[in-house]
Amino acid sequence: MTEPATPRRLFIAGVKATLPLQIGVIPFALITGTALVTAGLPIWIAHAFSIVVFAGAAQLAMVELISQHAAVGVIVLTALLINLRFMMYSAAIAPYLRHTGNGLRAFAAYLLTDQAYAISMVHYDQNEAEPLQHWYYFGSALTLWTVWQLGTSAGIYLGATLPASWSLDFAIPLTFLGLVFPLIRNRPGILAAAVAGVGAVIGHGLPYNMGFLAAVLVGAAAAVFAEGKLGDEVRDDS
Amino acid sequence: MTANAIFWTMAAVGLGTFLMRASFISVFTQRNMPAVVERIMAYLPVAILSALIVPAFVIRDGAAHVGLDNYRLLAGLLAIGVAAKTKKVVPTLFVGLVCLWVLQRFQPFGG
Repeated sequence: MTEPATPRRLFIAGVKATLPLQIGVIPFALITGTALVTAGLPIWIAHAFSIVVFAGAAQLAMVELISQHAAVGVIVLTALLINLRFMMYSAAIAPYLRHTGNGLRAFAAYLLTDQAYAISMVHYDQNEAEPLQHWYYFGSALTLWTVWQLGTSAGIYLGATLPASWSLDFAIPLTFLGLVFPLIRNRPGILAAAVAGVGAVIGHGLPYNMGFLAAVLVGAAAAVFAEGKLGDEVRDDS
Repeated sequence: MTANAIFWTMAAVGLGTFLMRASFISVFTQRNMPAVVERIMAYLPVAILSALIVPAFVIRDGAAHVGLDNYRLLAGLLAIGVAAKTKKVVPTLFVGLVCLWVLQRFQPFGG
């Protein structure tokens, strides 16, 4: 950055860097909003989901499990396992938020998403952890939050008008399908997907949907076990 | 589930998610994530998404049903091809849904 870094400049730079990603975020937000209401959730709860949980994959997984009448414990645990990755992001982004107060840090934590993390880390890779650098993060994260709320709201109102005969519940697994392939970065990843997918079908009849959770844990464990044995343990985290 | 139960489920997930987001930003500010935990966590999203996808394609009326008359399975298999090739949500969703609509409309292999 050639100009002196001011909070305003950093904030706007964060907004600008995040805008192109919204081409992918908007459809995902529309799908999520639509899925929330087509699953039969009251409209106010659907809005609350986007504000309180504020994590697309977890929101969709919860809706899918609610429609399968899974036990509350299974739903909560699944959503939290999906969101465990935020701990990784939290650890990575923390050094750049150390100069802020507790309140702003808590707000920054609430706003943490895949995209805000990815965009900010690209920027921080080239910039020192200086006192003002958190404004870049806020520019990115608040852009994402705003688009997510607007997009899911639009989806919620759209979903409330769509007929059930359109089988829009099928949009949830299809969306997951589009999300899962970019996440498979190596052969252990393929193993995790195969074991968890087949395992979930085998364990389908178990009470409280416990078969699902067992399949997930066995799949992830199998992948870690296979790392190195399959010859490509290095993950590409870019 | 009642609206009340859904609300509290959501509140629990919201609180837990916030605590995970805040973990290193607000609480363990001077520490790093143990590498072994990171390795396991790295595979959880793939495993969870797959465990949600495959049953949604295969299970019909509470049991695994593999056959040409399972239209969600046929549409899903086509969508897997699209997802593997494009790695994008929108084309996968579009092809999968349209395929399901066409199959349900014309019922080529019975209901």
